[in-house]
Amino acid sequence: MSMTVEQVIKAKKIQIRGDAATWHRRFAVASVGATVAAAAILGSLILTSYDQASAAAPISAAAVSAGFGFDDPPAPPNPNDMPMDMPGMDMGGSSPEPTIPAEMPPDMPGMDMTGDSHGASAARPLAPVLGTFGGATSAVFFAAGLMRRKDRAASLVKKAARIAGRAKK
Amino acid sequence: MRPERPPRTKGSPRLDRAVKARAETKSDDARFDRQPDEPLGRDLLQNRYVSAVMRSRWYPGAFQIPIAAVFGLVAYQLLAGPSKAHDNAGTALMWVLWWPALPLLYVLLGRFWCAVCPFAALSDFVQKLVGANRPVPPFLKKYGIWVIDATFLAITWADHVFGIVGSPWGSGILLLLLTFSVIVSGAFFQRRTFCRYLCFLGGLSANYSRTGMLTLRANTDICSTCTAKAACYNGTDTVAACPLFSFPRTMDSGANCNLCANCIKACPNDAITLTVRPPTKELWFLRTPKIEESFLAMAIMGIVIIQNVTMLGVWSKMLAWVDQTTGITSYPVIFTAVFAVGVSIPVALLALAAKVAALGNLESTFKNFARFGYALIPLDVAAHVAHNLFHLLAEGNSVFYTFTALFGAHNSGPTALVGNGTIQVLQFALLALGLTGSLYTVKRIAHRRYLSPGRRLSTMVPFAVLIGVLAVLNVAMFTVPMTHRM
Repeated sequence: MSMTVEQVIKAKKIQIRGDAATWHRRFAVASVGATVAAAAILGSLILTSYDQASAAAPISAAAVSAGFGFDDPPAPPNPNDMPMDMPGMDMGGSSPEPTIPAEMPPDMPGMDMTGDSHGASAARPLAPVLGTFGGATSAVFFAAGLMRRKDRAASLVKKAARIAGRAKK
Repeated sequence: MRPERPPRTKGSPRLDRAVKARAETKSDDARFDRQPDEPLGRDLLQNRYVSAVMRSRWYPGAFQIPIAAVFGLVAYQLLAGPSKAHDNAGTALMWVLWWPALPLLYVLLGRFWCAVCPFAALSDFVQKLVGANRPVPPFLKKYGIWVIDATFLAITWADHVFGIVGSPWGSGILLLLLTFSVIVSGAFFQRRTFCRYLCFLGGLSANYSRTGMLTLRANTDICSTCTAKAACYNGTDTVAACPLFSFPRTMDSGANCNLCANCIKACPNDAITLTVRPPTKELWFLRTPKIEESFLAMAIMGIVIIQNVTMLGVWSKMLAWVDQTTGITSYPVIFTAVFAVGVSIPVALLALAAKVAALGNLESTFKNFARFGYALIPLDVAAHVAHNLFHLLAEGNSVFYTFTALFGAHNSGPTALVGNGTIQVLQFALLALGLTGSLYTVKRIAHRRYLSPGRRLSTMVPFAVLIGVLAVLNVAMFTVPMTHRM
């Protein structure tokens, strides 16, 4: 026994509505995924260039672990074991203070010599962390979107089968 | 040579005692089953202003938006702001202001924070966007609280080993990890699975909110005639379902209610009530105690003790002593050992008290552990608040200094809001309140559960001793100067 006209129209309407919702959802998921991924990539690029420009020294494993408060940082060499004339190791006891030239304004950006550490530190690998976070979030969104799409398709099939079953009766 | 057991014959004193105990247990069980549930106070929803706020479509969103904005600022500051905790507004807002205020909020308003938490808002947003809405895995339903216990312990351990609180970057990473967990949960699972089954703060708040003064319940008389197909649980076309999977009709605890008011909005019969009650009252009427929740209460006590010990001057002496005695200089190794011992001590003490009580009340040690572990929650909350009160009052000004620094102002000066003497007096007063609350809770639970004075007394004494010991330990620690967070 075939479906009545109303039933066919109803089933088609459900299908059309389902299709529209699916496309809407696809578009939303794709746009959010693309935005997050783009933000992650752009953020990584910007922050990497910022790190490279601002970091006084390359990030070392020791610096990262010290930032995390790990124990056992590499021990500093014993000054007694060093030659007295080792380059860069002035052990004469004098500690020359950093001087600010008279013509330089005291609050000149990048010239903070007070020892305070304002702004992003070199010990913070912000770019890779945010990149990983953004990438992982995009992957989660994508996977969840796929699952949702699959679930909706399965539910539509069930609905259609139910309508078809009723029509047969 | 083992002494011979007395023969189990009819009329022997041992058998008589066993028979008597079984009869007493049976009569107490029957009496306990007939005990009424927690009586409810005046319904705040009868007040039209409160009712209007709770039923408003802007509740709780009106709170969520500014809190989410502050959360964004905190996250930005932690990840990209000053690297020293002393200068970081994120650290000050998170660890000096929010963290100490949280347990106080639980006592006053129950789990209200969970309704306005930015993570909850994020979970809802992700769910709306891509949510697969899969049911909660049975594993989480069964062992979720143990996962919370483990996470809480792991985060506290990591705080000391990796310096999370003292390092804005560490705090920022913690926030990112939590954010990612919320996103995963919101993307795959129904409602707020993370808040109910995974959030370590949720576990803490579930325990603490049992002492809360605000509670939501359903009028079961009205519910019994309801034909709305559990709209309070499932939601309606316009109102979302209960985010924490609680069914108001059968709810006898505020532990899993965040006062989001979805059920109030969805109920067509106005059967939901919002009442004020004395703190800790819910604990007096506990019906189905769970061992994992008692364990969490004791673990929190251990964590507070460890937090105190590591902030005392004696901690560095202990480290030096361990170094001299064992030659171990690795901080993670020493701290892990101290942490394991510190958390185990309160759990072991409760187990011991439960064992002693079991000899007197003739119930199993497990049952005693599960039932009377809850009585420690008031002291838990008091010790936690007292510990954090130090940070709030001794470092409170740093919130103002670092926050105004964001707008270019350079304020500096002492960070303390009040003197150390005042802080100590407040800490002792809080501990006294906690001690009183815990002792009274033990009394109420024992009186509700057991009929005979002998059983009541033999149950109360070991737990009262335990509570006293833990209170004295806390008092002793608060008499010693503590280091600052910032």
